[in-house]
Amino acid sequence: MKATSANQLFSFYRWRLLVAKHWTENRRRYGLSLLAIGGLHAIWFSCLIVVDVYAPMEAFMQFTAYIVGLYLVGCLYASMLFAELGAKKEALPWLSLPASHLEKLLCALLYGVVLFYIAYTLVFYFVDGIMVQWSNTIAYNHPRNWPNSNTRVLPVTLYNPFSAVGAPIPEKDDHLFTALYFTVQSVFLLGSVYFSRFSFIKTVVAVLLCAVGFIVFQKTFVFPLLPHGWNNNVLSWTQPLYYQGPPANKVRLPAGLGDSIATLIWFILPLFFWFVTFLRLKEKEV
Amino acid sequence: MVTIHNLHFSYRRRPVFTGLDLELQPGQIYGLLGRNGTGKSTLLRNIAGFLFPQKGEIDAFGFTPGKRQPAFLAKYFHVPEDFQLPDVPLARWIQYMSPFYPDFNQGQFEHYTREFTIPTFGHLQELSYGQQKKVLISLALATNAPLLLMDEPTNGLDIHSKSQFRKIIAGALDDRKCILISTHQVKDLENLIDNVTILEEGKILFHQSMNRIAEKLLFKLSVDPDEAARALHAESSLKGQAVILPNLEGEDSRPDLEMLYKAVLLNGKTINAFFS
Repeated sequence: MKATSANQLFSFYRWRLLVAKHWTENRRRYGLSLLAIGGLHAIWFSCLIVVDVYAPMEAFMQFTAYIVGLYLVGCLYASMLFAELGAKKEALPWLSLPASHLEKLLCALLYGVVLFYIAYTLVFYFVDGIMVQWSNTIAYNHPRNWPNSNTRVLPVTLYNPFSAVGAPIPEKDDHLFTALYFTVQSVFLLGSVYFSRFSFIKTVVAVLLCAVGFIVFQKTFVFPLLPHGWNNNVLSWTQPLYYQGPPANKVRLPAGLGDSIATLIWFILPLFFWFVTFLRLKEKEV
Repeated sequence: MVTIHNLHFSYRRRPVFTGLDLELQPGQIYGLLGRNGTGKSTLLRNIAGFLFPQKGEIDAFGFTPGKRQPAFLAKYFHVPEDFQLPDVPLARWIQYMSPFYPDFNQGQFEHYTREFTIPTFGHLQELSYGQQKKVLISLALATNAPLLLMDEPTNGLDIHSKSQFRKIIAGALDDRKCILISTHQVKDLENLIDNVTILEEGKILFHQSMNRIAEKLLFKLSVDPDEAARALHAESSLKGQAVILPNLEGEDSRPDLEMLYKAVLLNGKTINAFFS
């Protein structure tokens, strides 16, 4: 094949080879990891059912388990996607493999973002479905569901990630937790290239420092500009407050700006961090 | 094939190369010698594009190695000193690695593994370190990449395997290929390399072909104290004094790489003067 600048950047043939190579080398580890994820969810739900027989599997609990697991495992996995670059004996073969940086990044994104999300969701719902069924069976046989009972224990349904009924308002209205996951995960992916060792821990520290910096920035520069008596609900947003309606002194972003921020979180920030990861891969020295 | 001009490279504040020039030609095997920490592996990694020069240029097949373009990466194979192979069956590994190298030859790979007596069934992780190294060398040679960069390739090989290594490398070379071997095991390269390159203090201290060395220098055992006194380099041995003399009469001798290496480190200017 003639080496044109276009096929030096991306070739579907080489990318397919990379994807096959990655799968062959990691499939056993991935299979075991998915089993472990399913097992941990099963243990967690079992604990909930044992402790609380009334409503252990209500939508909010399912959502929490789903999203916390997604963030934890997804970010941990992302921080390992370029772990080879941390050790010279693995980094040299990885860098010298005849494929472009873009192909290597897209291969990591396929497994780390797309396939992981699908696989995690499928495993979660496989376990969740069984646990909801078990929980409903227990609830059905509960004394409060015997004839003539006034306070019945109602069966629960599977949490639906699309309608997000039962999830907190930011998720229900804008799928903000799910969207933010892709951004946070893209930061951990960058961390796996940026930090040679202990990338997960170092990225957690970096993210926390950025969050603290953001809060300090708000307190120092943004809040003094807001009207007197303004009440910041962004970091302590609770459903009762939402339902009470906006207080008179509530400052709201214009609808257009709000949509722009949602778009930023959904699409632009992950793309930005993936692009920075690509640049970092290009300049990686071992 | 590979041209390095005025290469400057340093690790943070520790300079490794300060204006290194080197040219590698096809059809040649180069032995890269030097003390620990003189930058043998660093030079290989600069050529391979793992490290980027701070100043100067490296041109390999018309590519800048640091860009790590796939067309360049397919033109060389790097055998590192320390490596880790995946936990997959050997046959499967070759099946998915070989398509990355357009000139890979399955028949050659099987030939090299046979020569090295490596079991081709089972997982890579079931093989010993030495066997894994031989598998890696077999793959490197079977890719038919024009440039082979080998960092201490004989480390971890037993005596018989070292001899097989020399035989296989010598047989694998053709007019299209260039092999650069970095090592401090100079004895392992005897009768194999065509050129000796000695690195010292960030520069090429000595870079000559074996033919020129044999032409200009005479390696012999001497019992004559006067001859030993005239020698460019002399070492005591059981049979007398091993000496390096100027080859004024055009005599035939086999260069002793270890002696030459020591002589160049101790008396580089004088030795180089015979080649200017």
